[in-house]
Amino acid sequence: MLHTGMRVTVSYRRRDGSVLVAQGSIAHYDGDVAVISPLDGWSFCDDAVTPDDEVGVAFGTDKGAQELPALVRRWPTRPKAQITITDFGTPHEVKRRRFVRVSVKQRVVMSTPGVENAFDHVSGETADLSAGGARIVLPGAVEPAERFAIVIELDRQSPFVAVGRPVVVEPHPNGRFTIVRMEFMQAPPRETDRLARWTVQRDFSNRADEAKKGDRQS
Amino acid sequence: MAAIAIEAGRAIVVLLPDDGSELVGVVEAVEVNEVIVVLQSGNQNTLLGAHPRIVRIGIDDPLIVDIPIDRVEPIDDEPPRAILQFEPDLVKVGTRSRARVRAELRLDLLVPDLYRPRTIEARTDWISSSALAVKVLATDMKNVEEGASLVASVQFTDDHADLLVLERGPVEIAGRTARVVFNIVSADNNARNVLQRVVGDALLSSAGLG
Repeated sequence: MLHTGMRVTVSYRRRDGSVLVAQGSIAHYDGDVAVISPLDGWSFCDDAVTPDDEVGVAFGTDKGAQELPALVRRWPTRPKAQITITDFGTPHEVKRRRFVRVSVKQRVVMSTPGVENAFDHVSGETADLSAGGARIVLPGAVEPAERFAIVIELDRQSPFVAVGRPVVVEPHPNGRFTIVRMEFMQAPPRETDRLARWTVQRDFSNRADEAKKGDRQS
Repeated sequence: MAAIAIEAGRAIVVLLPDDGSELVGVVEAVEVNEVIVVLQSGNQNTLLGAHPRIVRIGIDDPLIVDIPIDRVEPIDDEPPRAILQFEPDLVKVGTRSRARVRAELRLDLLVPDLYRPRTIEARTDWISSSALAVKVLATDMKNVEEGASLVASVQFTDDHADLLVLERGPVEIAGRTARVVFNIVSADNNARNVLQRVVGDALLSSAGLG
């Protein structure tokens, strides 16, 4: 299932419930143990993780994305920053979409070139969000436009900035709002990557919250 | 053969196909062992069937050298362009890798903010196919850090404005004016075509080939 050179996303849930996500590639795999090298901004080194902590290793296949639970054997230390994992569990399908989509309410400002080239702005909030697009709820009707400049709040990070194309514009069931399904057409790769990480982290947090609720109810 | 340093925007090139014809152009961009040339209009069809193997590059008169080309790839563009690929270590970037041309395009820069977005009116000082520089009031750039993403609206035609996503680069401040370089991170096809045309036409014109 895993193989050397494969790109994977490793996620680890801290004890405070927050989630670390990092991209890596498999440097060694012998069926029992996998060694993963970091590809970018590997922040795991700075966390005190102990052997036998659980991580998720996500990877893409022809049939969609899979996630494999595993236990940490050796945690990365600088400078090499490789992580060694073992005791793989049963893989499960995570999402078939290109990007993870999460239900979140984040502030959005959409701008269009207006009269004499100045920008007109309208603000609303997301209903769901992925690195490829968003469903946005706006007050009142929306002036038709081919392109919008979009700025989306990402909690404590600087906002996400892109140019987007409205795919579907429909009235909200309550009649006072408009729902716009927006595709991000001209997102800088760095911004797409940042938003992809943010949505994955938020997805993990949402699922953890749901699991906690389920535990309390049972 | 020692590596030839080529400066974008200045070097005139003549492609020499085996049939004795000549295709003339200006270097628009230099990458590692790869050069993008803007050719005089009408040369695209000739180039497609010509398979030139040698390019004559006049870098600084009287230094004119003939360099063998590994591969030529025509680009469907206006004015036409060609990518010339060379053997490793034959070509290196001179003092400039992308040609810049003087152009005064009016644009509005949207400084993104979730609560108080603001717009800066600006005119370009120069543009290239991957970046542009604008002159603005120095105070307008307050709180716009290097690397920050901005969106620019450029009105290329009377009834249509295009949006470009820009990333702030270096700023030079002279008195109250700031000259700010922005990398063009993304642009839709129309905007990219217009910029390519403006840059290509200006390069040919400045070389007396327009």
